Amino acid sequence: METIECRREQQLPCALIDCVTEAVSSTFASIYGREPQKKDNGSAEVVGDGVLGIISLVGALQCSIVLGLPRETAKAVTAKFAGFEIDYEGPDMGDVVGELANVVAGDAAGRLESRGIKADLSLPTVARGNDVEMIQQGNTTSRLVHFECTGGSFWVKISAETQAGARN
Amino acid sequence: MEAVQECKLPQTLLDGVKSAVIEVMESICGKASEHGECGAAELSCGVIGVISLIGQDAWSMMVGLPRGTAIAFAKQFTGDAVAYDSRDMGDVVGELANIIAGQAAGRMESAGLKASLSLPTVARGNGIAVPVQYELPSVCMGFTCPQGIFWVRIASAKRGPSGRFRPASSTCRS
Repeated sequence: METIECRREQQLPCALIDCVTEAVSSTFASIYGREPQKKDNGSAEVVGDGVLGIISLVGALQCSIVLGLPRETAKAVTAKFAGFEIDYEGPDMGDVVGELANVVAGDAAGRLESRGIKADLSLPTVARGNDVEMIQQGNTTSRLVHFECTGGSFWVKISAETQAGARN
Repeated sequence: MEAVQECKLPQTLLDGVKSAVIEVMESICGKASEHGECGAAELSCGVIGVISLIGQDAWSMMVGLPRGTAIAFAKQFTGDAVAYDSRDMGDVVGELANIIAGQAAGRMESAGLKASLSLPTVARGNGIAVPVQYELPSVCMGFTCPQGIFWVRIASAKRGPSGRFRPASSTCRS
């Protein structure tokens, strides 16, 4: 599997980046039968008209994982994931995107645990809107990874406390 | 004010969060009270701060501030004008979520429910809605302070045998 470049000065644990991106690849491969393609890292984290799936890990690592799905990607991915079309404006969209975030984070937590980093999952939270963007906080460092899958493009933002240090 | 309650949440949690919101906002803004316009606030342009608590059970809390409230609150909180589009706005709303959740966690711990706080996550956008997740008990409460209206939504779940969380009750959406 292609690895994401990881530098210590980013202060984001390389193990965290690896485990989350591997979890995303594995989850989307199980949905579409092929791994999503990692794209050049872009700076934009505006999902535009779209949905965010937000979930946190608490334990040896304090971090959050945000899955950003533009509207068309959300419709395509949730239909494939659920096995039937999901109304974008309907309440089921929250369920499916929340569950997708849960699956990705659960996979990532398992991979972290196999590296000796134990963390519990939070409840997923889903937000939908227009021009939705994440705001980086001063005490956190983050990494944005863009992907392209059969259903469209999406991104994952991984954030952790700056003071957490680089536990590679 | 009557909370928009989709399903039953533990009363200790509901009371703990509500009193934490009032206490924190009164200490910052001088005054705060509940009001019943949660649905309208949820649809406005604004900023949301999301934070989770994880223990034997888990709950998550979202604080939603319409744009006008966010700008006025940030000025009151920091003593300076904070641009809506700035990174500082993320710090302000993240810190607000952190303080309220910390206060609520203290109240929960006094009731024997110990939990750890996650990092807060902050997002900004237009027409932000937080869809209620299936079978996840949640409550949305509207509040007002001199800086404007805002809302707080809480949801909770119990930990399943696998370590993942599952809804605290069977059916919350008809």
